Amino acid sequence: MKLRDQLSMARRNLKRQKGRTRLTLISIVIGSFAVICVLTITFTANKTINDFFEQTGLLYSIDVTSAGTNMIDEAMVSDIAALPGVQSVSPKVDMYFYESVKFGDNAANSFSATAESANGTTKQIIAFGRDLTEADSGPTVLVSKDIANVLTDDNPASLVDQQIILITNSYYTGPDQKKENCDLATMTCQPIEVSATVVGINDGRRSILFPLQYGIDQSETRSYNEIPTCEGFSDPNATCEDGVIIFSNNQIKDSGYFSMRIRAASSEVIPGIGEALTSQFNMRDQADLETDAGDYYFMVGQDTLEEALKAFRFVSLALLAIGGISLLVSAIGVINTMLMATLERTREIGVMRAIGATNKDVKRIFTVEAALLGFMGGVWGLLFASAIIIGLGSRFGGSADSMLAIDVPTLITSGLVPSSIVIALTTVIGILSGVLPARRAAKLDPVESLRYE
Amino acid sequence: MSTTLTQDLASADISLSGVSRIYELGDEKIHALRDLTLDIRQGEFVAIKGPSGSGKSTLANVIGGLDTPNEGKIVVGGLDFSKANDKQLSHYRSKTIGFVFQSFNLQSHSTVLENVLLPLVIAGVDKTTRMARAKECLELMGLLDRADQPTNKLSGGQRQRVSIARALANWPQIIIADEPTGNLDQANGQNVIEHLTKLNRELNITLILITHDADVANKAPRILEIIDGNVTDRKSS
Repeated sequence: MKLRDQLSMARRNLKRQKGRTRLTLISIVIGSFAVICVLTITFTANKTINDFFEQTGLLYSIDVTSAGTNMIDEAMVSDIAALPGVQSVSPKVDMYFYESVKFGDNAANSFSATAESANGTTKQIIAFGRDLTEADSGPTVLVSKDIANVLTDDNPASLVDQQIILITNSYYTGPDQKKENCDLATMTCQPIEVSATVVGINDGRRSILFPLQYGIDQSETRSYNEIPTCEGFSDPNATCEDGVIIFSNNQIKDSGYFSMRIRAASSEVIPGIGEALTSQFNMRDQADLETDAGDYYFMVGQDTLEEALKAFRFVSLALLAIGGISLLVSAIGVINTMLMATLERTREIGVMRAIGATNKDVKRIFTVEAALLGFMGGVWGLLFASAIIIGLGSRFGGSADSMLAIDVPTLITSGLVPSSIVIALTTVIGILSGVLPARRAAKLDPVESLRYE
Repeated sequence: MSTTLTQDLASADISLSGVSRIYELGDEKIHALRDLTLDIRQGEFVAIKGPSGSGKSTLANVIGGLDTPNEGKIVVGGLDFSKANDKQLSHYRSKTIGFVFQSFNLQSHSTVLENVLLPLVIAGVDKTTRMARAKECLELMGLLDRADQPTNKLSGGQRQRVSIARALANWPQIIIADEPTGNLDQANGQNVIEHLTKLNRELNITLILITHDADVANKAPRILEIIDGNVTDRKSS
């Protein structure tokens, strides 16, 4: 018997029991839908994270952080830059005091504002405009495309050369803050608006990047102390105005940076750099912390990537387990459906044996039916999952206010296409579920089957 | 008669020697066939008659390769059943034998044509040939105009003729008809027997007709009577 005829016979037989076929299909569709959704999200996120690390050079980077006691001073920066295998280094300044950003009527929050050297240590993927250069030192910024989309209603290129407004939080006591804005008792201040010129849009994730010098300048903090009178006040580190002593402090200038990034020439030289950091600068690898704490920690980009993916894999596995249970339930549904079909078609099996069907033919007829159920369930599951994932991707993908900052083409090529392997999985599940009923059908005695009422 | 209906068939003489078939019902042993020896030549028309439970259907089933005897040897057209595997016996049922059942055993959800196509599909005959062949068989049974009707819309006589067309589909050398008129009125029964005898006469197909009806049996030149599993030749022309 030819496979094409078996398929056509299977299709006809499934049509005969429309209700039961539909119910069984629904259970497979639910299972495959769940698994496809999880796989799509996992594949897409993995690809996106990997690409991001690769393209930005983070995969070849080593992030150094102070353990709290010693900061990273300029001499140390120079010494590390001179280590073999180091391509470049850049101190990093975390500008935590910006709470939100606005442009016209649009606003975005939940982003990271940092300042770094524009020397290529972190490679910027410029979508529009230009990268920051060593010549930039004032309030000029690179804005990530996802935030630019929110600020410009999905026209990120229009943000280039425009002024955006950054709004500080209540802890900002930097050079732009005014004493009048602050409650001197609690040292909390009113938010202020700081304008910055956008020089370019990059493919980063929810980030605003300033020139290093601007970050250093903005890190200056002030504290105020009221005294009865400024008369006779004298301190080289403070000024006194209208009975208020103003202390200025720039920790970076005084002590050094809290963190920095090293760019290795290649992934092969990273272990050597790690050894030099440990031995020469009393640093410890954060991925392999020992009991004796060093003065600094360093984290290799590959380990950071691995950590990020590990956490993600755990969640994915948990979700996959749920999807797997759904598929298991659907497999039981297929077994039940096929066993009922075997029973109902006992006489028909007898006739088929009488007109020349072999045991193998009968077995194959039922196996193909079960496989077809699995295949159709997988196809429908993929269709439903595609509709929902593409729908959600179009609605939320790429938005700065969403964790799903992934575009639809990536979802399709990196997520849905490899996830379609689930169709093969449901087909195999169908085949395996059909084994027992098919074997039972094939073992039926033809004479007994013909007598079956 | 179309050329495809009269393929150049090898002889399929039937030879049974010392065949016994015993069923076990709990502790009880039922001898459906007892040490039965029998020869049927290609092209013969043989009626097998006997009372209910005498072993007629068992004899039809062992000749048709559906049932396996406990003892004895069956050889049809050179095929020794005792040495044949499932594939060989299935091929034999597909290509040498055509079964006609008392209760028709048609697929009621399928059309007349689909029922006749089924043995050809199982035999792996290509689409064009099987379509032509099925239509040819239906035409022979006078049912071509009903090809697209579901079989449950047909009368009993028409259904049995569909069953004969199905039996004829794979150019068989032997047709085993087990009580083909059992569910039919006299006129339809007569008509079915006429169709079967015509196949025997014109196509030289061996016809083994199982019946308990003496009138039907008397149409055959040779009558075998089975009583308690023993067979007796009653009439030979």
